[in-house]
Amino acid sequence: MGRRRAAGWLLCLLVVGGLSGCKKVTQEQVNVVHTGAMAAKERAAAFAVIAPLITAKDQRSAAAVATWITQHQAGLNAQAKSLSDLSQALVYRPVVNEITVKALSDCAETASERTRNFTAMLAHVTVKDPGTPAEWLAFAGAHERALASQAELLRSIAEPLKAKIKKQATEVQP
Amino acid sequence: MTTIPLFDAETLAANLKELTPALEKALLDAAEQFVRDNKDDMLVLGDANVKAIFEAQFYASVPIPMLPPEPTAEDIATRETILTKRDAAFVLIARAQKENNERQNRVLKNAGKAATSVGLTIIGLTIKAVLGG
Repeated sequence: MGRRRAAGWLLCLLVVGGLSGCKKVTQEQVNVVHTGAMAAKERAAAFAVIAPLITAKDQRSAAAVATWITQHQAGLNAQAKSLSDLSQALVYRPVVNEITVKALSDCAETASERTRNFTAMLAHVTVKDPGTPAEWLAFAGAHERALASQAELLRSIAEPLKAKIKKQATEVQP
Repeated sequence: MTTIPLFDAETLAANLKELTPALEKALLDAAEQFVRDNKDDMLVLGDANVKAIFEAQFYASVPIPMLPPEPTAEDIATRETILTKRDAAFVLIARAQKENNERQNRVLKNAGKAATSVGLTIIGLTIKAVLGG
């Protein structure tokens, strides 16, 4: 019995000691990640519906447009999956590792560049029947705004965590 | 005609030559940090995941190529491929974080149970001592 009690306390000490290196995430940030995960899932689903209707304006670009559609969809799916897992991770415990913060920051930069790519691709693509150009433009505008908003949301989570890590590193190294 | 440094074979080779020491350090740092962060989980990453993490670290280390003023569909498609490779890394890292936090949560709950058991034992012994006394 004494051994079991000692093992219990030792376990407590190990857990407290082991968790001291984690970066705490605020409840507000947890909520933002959750919202972002839901939005990313919806965005990926919406693009999957519209993707078969997108076509190149100039058929010489058809292969490149097809590659872009596949990659854009894969990127949206990856973001939806990673944010969903991160959201679930924060439900278990509101802490993140340093490598995750770095990856989140990279992901914010990627999302921002994906918005630029989408805007640039609008000059090369249109919609085929049964869609109409007006419907396509409405979708494209909403998708573009959502991509930009996602990039901003990711940055708003990553930057304070990065700053916290930087501050801790500065405090450790005089 | 404007050219941009996309990752064709020649540019990739030039980038690798120029960036090798910095990249090696970035890759090693990332790998070591990943192992440090997750050592308690005894994660079995597998060759495919390790390759994907290293590849993603590579694409995260090299700046995303700029788009020219009037990019062709090919320029944009190539760039989108690079962006997707960067996102693939986050999928693996987020999954590792989820597994990490789930395990920590389980350990904490077990520790809580152990602490409660110890507390109840102490209360029991105290009551016994009071009644006995």
